[in-house]
Amino acid sequence: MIKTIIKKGSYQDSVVLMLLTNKISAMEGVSKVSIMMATPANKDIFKASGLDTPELLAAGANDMAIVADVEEEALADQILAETEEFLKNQASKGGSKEADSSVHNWEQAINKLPGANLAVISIPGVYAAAEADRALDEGLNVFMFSDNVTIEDEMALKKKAHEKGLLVMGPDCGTGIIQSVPVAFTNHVAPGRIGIVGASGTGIQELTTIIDRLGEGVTNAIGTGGRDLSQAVGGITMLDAINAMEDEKSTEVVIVISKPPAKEVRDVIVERLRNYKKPVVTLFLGEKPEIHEENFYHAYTLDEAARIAVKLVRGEKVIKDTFVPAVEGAYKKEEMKTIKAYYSGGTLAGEAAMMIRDTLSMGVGLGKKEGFMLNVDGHIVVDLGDDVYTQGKPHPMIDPAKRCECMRDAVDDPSTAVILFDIVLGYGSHEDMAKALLPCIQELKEKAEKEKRRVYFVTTVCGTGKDYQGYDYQKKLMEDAGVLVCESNKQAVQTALALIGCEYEEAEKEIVPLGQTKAKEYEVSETVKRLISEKPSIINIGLKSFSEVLKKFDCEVVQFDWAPPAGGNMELIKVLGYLRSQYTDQIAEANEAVIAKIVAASPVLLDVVPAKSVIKEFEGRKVLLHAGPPIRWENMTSPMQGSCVGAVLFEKWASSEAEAREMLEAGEITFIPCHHVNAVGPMGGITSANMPVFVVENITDGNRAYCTMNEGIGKVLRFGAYSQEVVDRLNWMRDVLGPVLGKAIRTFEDGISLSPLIAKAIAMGDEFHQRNIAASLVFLKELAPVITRLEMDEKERYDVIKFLSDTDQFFLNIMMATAKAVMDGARTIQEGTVVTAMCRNGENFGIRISGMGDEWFTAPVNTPQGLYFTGYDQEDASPDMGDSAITETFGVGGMAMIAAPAVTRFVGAGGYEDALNTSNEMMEIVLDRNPNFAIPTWNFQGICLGIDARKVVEKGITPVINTGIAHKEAGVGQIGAGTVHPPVECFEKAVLAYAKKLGYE
Amino acid sequence: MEVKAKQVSSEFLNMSKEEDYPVHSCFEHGFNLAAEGRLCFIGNKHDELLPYGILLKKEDVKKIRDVVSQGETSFCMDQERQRLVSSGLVIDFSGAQVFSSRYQKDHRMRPQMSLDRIFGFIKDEKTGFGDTIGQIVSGKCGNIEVIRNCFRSRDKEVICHILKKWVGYGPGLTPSGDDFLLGILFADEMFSFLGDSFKAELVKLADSRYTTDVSVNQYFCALQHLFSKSFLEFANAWKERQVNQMAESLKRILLFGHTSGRDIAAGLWTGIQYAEDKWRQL
Repeated sequence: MIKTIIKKGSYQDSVVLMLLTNKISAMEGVSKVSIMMATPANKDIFKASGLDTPELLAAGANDMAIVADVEEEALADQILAETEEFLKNQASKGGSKEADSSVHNWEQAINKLPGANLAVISIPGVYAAAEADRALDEGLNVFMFSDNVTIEDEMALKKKAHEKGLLVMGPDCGTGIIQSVPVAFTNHVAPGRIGIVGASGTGIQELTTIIDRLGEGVTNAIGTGGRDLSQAVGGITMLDAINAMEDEKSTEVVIVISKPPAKEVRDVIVERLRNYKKPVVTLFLGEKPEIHEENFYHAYTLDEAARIAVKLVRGEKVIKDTFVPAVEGAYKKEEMKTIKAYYSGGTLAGEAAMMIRDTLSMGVGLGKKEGFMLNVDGHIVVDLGDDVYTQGKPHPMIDPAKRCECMRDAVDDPSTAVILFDIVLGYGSHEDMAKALLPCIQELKEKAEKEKRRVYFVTTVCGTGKDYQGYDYQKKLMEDAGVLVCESNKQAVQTALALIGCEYEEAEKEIVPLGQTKAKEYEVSETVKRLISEKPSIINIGLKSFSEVLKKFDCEVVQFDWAPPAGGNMELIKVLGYLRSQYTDQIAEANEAVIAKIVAASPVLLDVVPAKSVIKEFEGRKVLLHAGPPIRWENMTSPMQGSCVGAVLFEKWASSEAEAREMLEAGEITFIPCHHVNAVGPMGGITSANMPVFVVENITDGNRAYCTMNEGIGKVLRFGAYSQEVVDRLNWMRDVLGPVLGKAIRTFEDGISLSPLIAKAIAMGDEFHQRNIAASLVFLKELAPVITRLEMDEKERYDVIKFLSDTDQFFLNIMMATAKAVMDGARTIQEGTVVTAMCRNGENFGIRISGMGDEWFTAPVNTPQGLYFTGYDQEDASPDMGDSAITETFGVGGMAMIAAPAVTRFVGAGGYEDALNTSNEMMEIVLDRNPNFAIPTWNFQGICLGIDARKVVEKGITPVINTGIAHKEAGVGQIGAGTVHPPVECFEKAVLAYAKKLGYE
Repeated sequence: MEVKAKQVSSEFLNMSKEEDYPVHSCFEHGFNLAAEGRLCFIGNKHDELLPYGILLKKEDVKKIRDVVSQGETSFCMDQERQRLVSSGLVIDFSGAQVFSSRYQKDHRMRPQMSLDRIFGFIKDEKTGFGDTIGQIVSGKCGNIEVIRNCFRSRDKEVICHILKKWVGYGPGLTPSGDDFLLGILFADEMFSFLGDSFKAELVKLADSRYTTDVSVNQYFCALQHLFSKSFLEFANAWKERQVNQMAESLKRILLFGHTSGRDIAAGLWTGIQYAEDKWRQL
């Protein structure tokens, strides 16, 4: 009976609908189900399937319609309950513990399971090859369930795997057993002394299950993927697997099976097997061998191959099969009855077609045509798993509907005598296919009886007693319904032929001496040997159900919830793959050297002097330094232009704003990025010749860096103000503050060592971008005693000390110069992918990486997000600017958010937990931790060390920068604070450029 | 709980008023808000930017799933503070980057390019119709020729009859037929080959709720020249003749839904092929 459940206004995405369909299909008593949105067009589909009901017709386009053909009325409630439960579970999936134990990138996967030796990949085909390539780079063997991988990619992967001593099973490999662990859609088979290497999924299933039921076992069944024996691929995986099996201790006999291979490849395989140290059985589907050779047997059917292998393992004589179908009331041949065969397994269908063709001497080739494996004289063999039949519907191994439909058509054909079909058990198959098919079979038997026709149903159950569906139970159900159940597909086809009066004969084959060939040595890598001699340790990338089965077999497995790396950008995925496969060690070495320099740096504050005395670029011309990568006047933001005006007035190059702007617009001023002259500047970063700058020397590498002093808060030059008040303050800083600080600092014989000061302040809750108060106070503590003893005007002394104590952010500029000095020392190593500078000019964000020297990689800046002072909002904000991101480059600032819980709210980052999550996330894109600067609130772990541009690109995680937010109009000043991320394009360009430098094309 | 949006659609900002908007539907990666006759997706699926959408951080999507439910939750729009407020959850988009989903037509765009080179790598992908993309585009599936003949037809009755076989047809929340037609509509945005009658009949069917709300929303956005980011990037790459970038955009489109991406790609390729055929006839 047909039951309809309408879930009004139920919106579930397509994957959920498909999974729900599978679940309901598997319920006991449900013979057919269809779940779709009840649009008018879909109602036509329901009608065509005989599933149109009044409730369905009344439903609307936004209603989810579940229409099921069930045995009992009560099942409708059960289906509804299952549906509700399923949908509820979908809704709460995200918060489950199990989801949290998954990993999300390769690093996490490898960290969680460092001993992994196999990656199982079931993700969309377009990305599968890249992930398989990555797996090979990580030293893992690969099992590719994914299909839609190009032949070119398959060739490249297999060649690479072979060179690295690894194995690629697939693509489109649905079945495998490794040390008795079923991988993907496989049966639960006893371990034993037979090994299988096969380019055929259901072929492997049929072999392994027959062997199990005959009392032997299979420990390893290696699937190679259907194209492995094509001319293009050349049998790479098959040969490597065959070689590995030769040495594997538990294997005594090997079976090699394939669909029809390319001749040249077949010859290579056969040549290899002639030198095999163990008895081997081959089956190239479609071939009808007439002899065996010594220790080298040639089977015609899967059943024969399995029986020969069992005999060999038992040391028994190999003889032909003595099976005779027990058929009573068979038709005579002259009655010209036909067989209709409907399979869910492609290889089984192929075998049936071959046997029928050969027995009835049909002059047709093997192969699919319009979905038929065979369609001659009324005999039909169909692979219902073919794409032609799976129109957005579940595979026939999990849904009986299509098969039942075909069987009904078959019975309507008066020539039909036998309906032949398979039932495939195991992981990934229907929970109870026998029961699902039963009603249809019973109905059709009754119909045939009424019409006084004999129609036989013949089946084979491809499974074992250990399969969760229960082999014996499935067999009994069928037998009780009057279905002839055979032990193998070959026996089923043989029975079907007998029932139409045709005799299938298996000829006795003579065993001739083995053909002589040259003996050779074959190498097998340790990794592949280990793969098939120990339980695998697996990173499962894709379908969670595979992980669940592996866990049942006590297999070590990590579930990798995959999302496309590098944002799905295939070019970048290839670039990352190129760097990884060709230059991993070289880059690692270079990066290690760079970060070693960062750790070994020894920054010392030596002096405060006029910028022109240390930056020779100021000599003889009007020059202004600016923040960020190179920029032209006309492209500068209003605040930056305002800063320029202020600097021009300060330098007395002009006496009014108008005159200053005229000069700037006329190009009379040369603009140079601070970074190009060993300097950094906050916000607009405008630095002119007479502005005092800190001088920080990195004693370890002997290089120096400079930065202007912090002007304090309010209307200041760095935010674009240029009023007289601003100029006056700049004058004071030039005439009083700078010289006093310079004098004070010079009293320290070796300068002021900054690392201890930074270490102290970070432990006091500074992160050195938005919060510098502790460092500023420690700095004041160092200098105050010295300043009090300088010979100077008392008012000036008071003003200096007052200024230092009022300016909480004073140390920011020292930190910037420190970070610049350290990073510039490190980037003397001109290789690797460590980010050595990050800066912004209001138009573009620019980065440098160690391997590309001075080259900038830029992209348009983002606008910071955060909290605004009262009266201001996002609309008022200036785009991101400033060289202060050098602090994050070094590893503090936003990269050490957790150090300053106090500022997290202020920058809008949330609470402590958010700060911790942010800092932990930043660890995903860095190489190590800097032990010199431990953060108490981070369990005393060191700050982030060495942002790796490759990791940024791969993971799509960009550094977080804590920053002030300037008003977009010059002179207004700071209007808030927040965080900003660099555009990922900067890192993408840098990585691409570096790859090209290393020869990537 | 308060979450801050990463990006917000300018169309959403321009459209929304100080009103209550109910949650229309919930998914693993976010939810749809019903606002002013549109569905606004708030969440994050592969960082895709959708018309009228608000992009959240992935970690925030996980947090809000327990708080938002279809039919029970509604949000009040606070225009001044740029937030959506419900009991238990505030979505603050005041600091979010603003994006536009509007396709800027460029009349200089020409369909003349090697389509095999651009689309060839997806031809074996199976659509929700059961055929591969390649099979659909090559016209091996009977219905394709029939609908192609409708593109520039003036016979509204016939167009309506044919469209009824596509609109709302197939599995999924956005049935395969709708996704295919979305691909056609975007191809038309790029190269203008659809006649007015075709679009008018499509509008009528959408208006009469002949398919799911989500598909109807898709149609209306498309007819307003609003498309998700991957589409816009595809078109931009076409303009720049950057085949690699076109491929990247297509690969992102393929990730949509279960078969939606492939159905859309089939429609897009079919449409561009049609445009190219017409161009060659000129």
